[in-house]
Amino acid sequence: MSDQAKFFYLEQRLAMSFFGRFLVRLVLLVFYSVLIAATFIFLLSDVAELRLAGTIFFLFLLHRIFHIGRPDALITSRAIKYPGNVARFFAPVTYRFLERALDRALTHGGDARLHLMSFLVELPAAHDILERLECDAHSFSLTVRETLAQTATPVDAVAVLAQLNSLAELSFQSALRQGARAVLPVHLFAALGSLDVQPFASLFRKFNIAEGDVFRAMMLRRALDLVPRRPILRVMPKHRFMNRAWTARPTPTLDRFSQDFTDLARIVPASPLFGHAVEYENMLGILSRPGRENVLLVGVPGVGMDDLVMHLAYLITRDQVPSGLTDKRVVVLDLGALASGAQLGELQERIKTAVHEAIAAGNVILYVPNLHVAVQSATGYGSVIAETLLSAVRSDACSVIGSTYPLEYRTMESVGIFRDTFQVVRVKELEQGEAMEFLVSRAAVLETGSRGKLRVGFVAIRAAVFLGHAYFREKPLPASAEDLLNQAFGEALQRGERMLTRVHLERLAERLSSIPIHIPGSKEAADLLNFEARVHEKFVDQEEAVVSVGKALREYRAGLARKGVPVAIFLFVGPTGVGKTELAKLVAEFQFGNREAMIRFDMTEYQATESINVLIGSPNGERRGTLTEAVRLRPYSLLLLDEFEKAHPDILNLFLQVFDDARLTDSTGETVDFQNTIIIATSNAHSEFVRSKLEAGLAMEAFTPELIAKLADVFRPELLNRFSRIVVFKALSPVDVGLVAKLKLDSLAKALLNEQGITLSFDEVVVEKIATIGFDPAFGARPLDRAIADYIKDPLAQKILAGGVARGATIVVKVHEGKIVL
Amino acid sequence: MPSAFGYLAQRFFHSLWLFLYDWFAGGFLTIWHLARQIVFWFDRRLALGITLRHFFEPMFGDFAFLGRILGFGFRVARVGLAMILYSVIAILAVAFYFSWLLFPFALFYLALR
Repeated sequence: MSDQAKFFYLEQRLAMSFFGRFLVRLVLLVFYSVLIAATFIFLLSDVAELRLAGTIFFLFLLHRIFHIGRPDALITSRAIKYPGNVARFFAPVTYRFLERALDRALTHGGDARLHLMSFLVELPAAHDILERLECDAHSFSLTVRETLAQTATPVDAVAVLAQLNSLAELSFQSALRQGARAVLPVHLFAALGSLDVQPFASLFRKFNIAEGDVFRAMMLRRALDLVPRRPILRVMPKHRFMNRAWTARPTPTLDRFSQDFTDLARIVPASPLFGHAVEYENMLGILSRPGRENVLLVGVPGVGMDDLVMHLAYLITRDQVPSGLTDKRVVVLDLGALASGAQLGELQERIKTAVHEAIAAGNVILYVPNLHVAVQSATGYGSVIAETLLSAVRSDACSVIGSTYPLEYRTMESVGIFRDTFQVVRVKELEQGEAMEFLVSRAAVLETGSRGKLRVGFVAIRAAVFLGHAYFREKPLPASAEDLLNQAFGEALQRGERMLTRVHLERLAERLSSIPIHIPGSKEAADLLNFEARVHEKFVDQEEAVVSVGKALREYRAGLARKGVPVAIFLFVGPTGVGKTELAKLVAEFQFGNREAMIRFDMTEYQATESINVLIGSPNGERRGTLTEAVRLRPYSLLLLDEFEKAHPDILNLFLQVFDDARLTDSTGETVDFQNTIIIATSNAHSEFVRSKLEAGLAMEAFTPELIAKLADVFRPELLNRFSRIVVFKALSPVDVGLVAKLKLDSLAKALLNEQGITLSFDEVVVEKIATIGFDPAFGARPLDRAIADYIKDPLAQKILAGGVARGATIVVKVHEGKIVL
Repeated sequence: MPSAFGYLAQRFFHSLWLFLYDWFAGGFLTIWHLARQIVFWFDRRLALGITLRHFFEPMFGDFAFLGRILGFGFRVARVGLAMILYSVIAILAVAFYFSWLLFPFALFYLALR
């Protein structure tokens, strides 16, 4: 039988008629009135028997007064061992809400649960929960009433009762999960929030409340109740080296260079462990074994290795550990303090004495964070520390917990002593749900610390976890989310805000990551909608390419881009000098503010297999990858892969994973996310074929399908399939070249005016001349830059340097006798 | 449909039962838990079980003859103190519980006198 099946809700009063319940109330009122009167009269009576009766009544009344507002039974571990009716755990006020909903449904019609919702929404607790879900309580209440008005149909009493009973059972589960002692109206509200049936599903969707959100927001309120209002008064915890068995010895040298986690654990009210249950059990199991077993925690920084050890220290102080670990001290050795200001000899003495004291004390579990420092130090200090520490490890006289990072562990693995003496426990990143629980407790501490000046919305907590996980992969969860929450809280508190919301987190994440996360404002939306027009102010033709890029950007910013793949992956194919790279630069300019604000790789530099190590990092981790680091630091960016076909086939295979899953694992094992990256690969493959077709007088459209089919000679079909779009760039016609020449000359004139205050004036004849000189069917518009440099920039530079052109002057460019003159 | 009078009768007897249960069983459980908490609080300082486990180990790791003697002496004193203290707490708890049990009867006696 499942746990849910053990419990059922059956409140007899709800099954009665309205008159029946009224009669019950009336009889009870009369009964207690008579009882109270009788008690007073009897106690003051001269008759002994009456005084006896009065005493009994008095005790009974005292008992009843004690139970006012309380349920018949409290939810305890004993009470829920046996299956039964959970109505006994419901507070009287909770019953009254259910009764009101039942009566309202029977008299007015409509869903009794909706009626219940309309009552519960007026509670201060429900208001607070809705506000923390960034939902306007007043609007919510109005919407509930409107829904009720629309669905006010007569109902069957039996069906209504069944619905309420079912809801009551859910609310009991909610109270149980929350660790409450009684089922209160707020648990009814949480149970309603978990309903996935109509009209609740639509109602919650309208206000962006997901299933279970109400319960989680309730947990945040509960966490607030658990945080002590006053800070812990003792700044320094009292140091206690002696164990309760009185067998330990003082450790003065060790104490100088360490911190005692057990001292700290004695003064904190709680030290919960979020997630890492498996890792903790593994660590505990290893340490509890006979003999002195040693643990090496391996995980990325910020994953929570210190929290694991702190939790162990906390449970040791509460005697909630196996008997072999009771009465121990968890001492954190500070390697930096040990080495600080000490010569090699003195360091050796310090570490020997500290370790000897730990062994002699017999009750010390030594925790050495960043154990790799002891192994990798090149100055000789590390080797001293390593040798002495390892002597303790080898002698089995003292349990040692070490912690290190995955890359550093690889170095340590080769050292046999570590492999043989330490049991490795890999500490993984928290799941998002676990990270949210952690952040709920963290948010409660922040909120209490601000004395209620700033409240934290649950939606903000969820946003912090999501944004930390999606955009800040330098640190794992919960560190990345915690950093975001702390910073956003601090900034919002300084600004005098009253509630920390999702928008605060998104704005902060955008600022830190340069990734547009929020919904586009009107200006950005207008820019995106007019993307093609804006591009064509500086770019000629190639309509298909411009439209394809515009569509991809609009989909991405509207939140419609496919998840799990890059924003868009384009392959621009065509002859040289037709604008493939130029379009990429324009996209970088419009989207990121700068033509050069893109990650550019010339794939001709990656024609050897070894080039993979340049892109993803060296196998020993000494050098980070240029590609992986660039995208890790700027996830929202444009990645330009020029001359893509020239890369080594192994490198092209590397990009299969990028195009398919938007992920690439670097040499250290860390995964880089490409989901916010626009990828443009350019290729001149089969440009001879294009040129021959054009010379034969064929239009691009006529041979484009054939060209794309021929690309399979250069790229594997599975790679070609992964491009969002393969765009064939047209060869530029002389007219196009003329337009490009005009754009370049306009750009030159603008730059000259802005930077030097010199006006450059030219007419169409000059533009045509430049276009004629700068056009080459083989090289497209590439020679234009050389033509402008040779015939305009160079002569102008000579004039400026000769002092012949002052600021504010106007230079007129003309064609005179077939030559360009200034 | 349950009858109102049936419900009222059931609630009346339930209240009576609850009163008796809370007074006798509930009282016992409350006093038991309170006594247990007090004993645990003292035991975190006197550590009776731990002291007995390490009874013959010298204090402060002092394996000299004098150290062993002193350790033995201190531990005997500690165990003695703990046992006396816990006994006193137990006796007080039992006495309190019986007082609690007899309290209504005392009231009845006073009322009848």
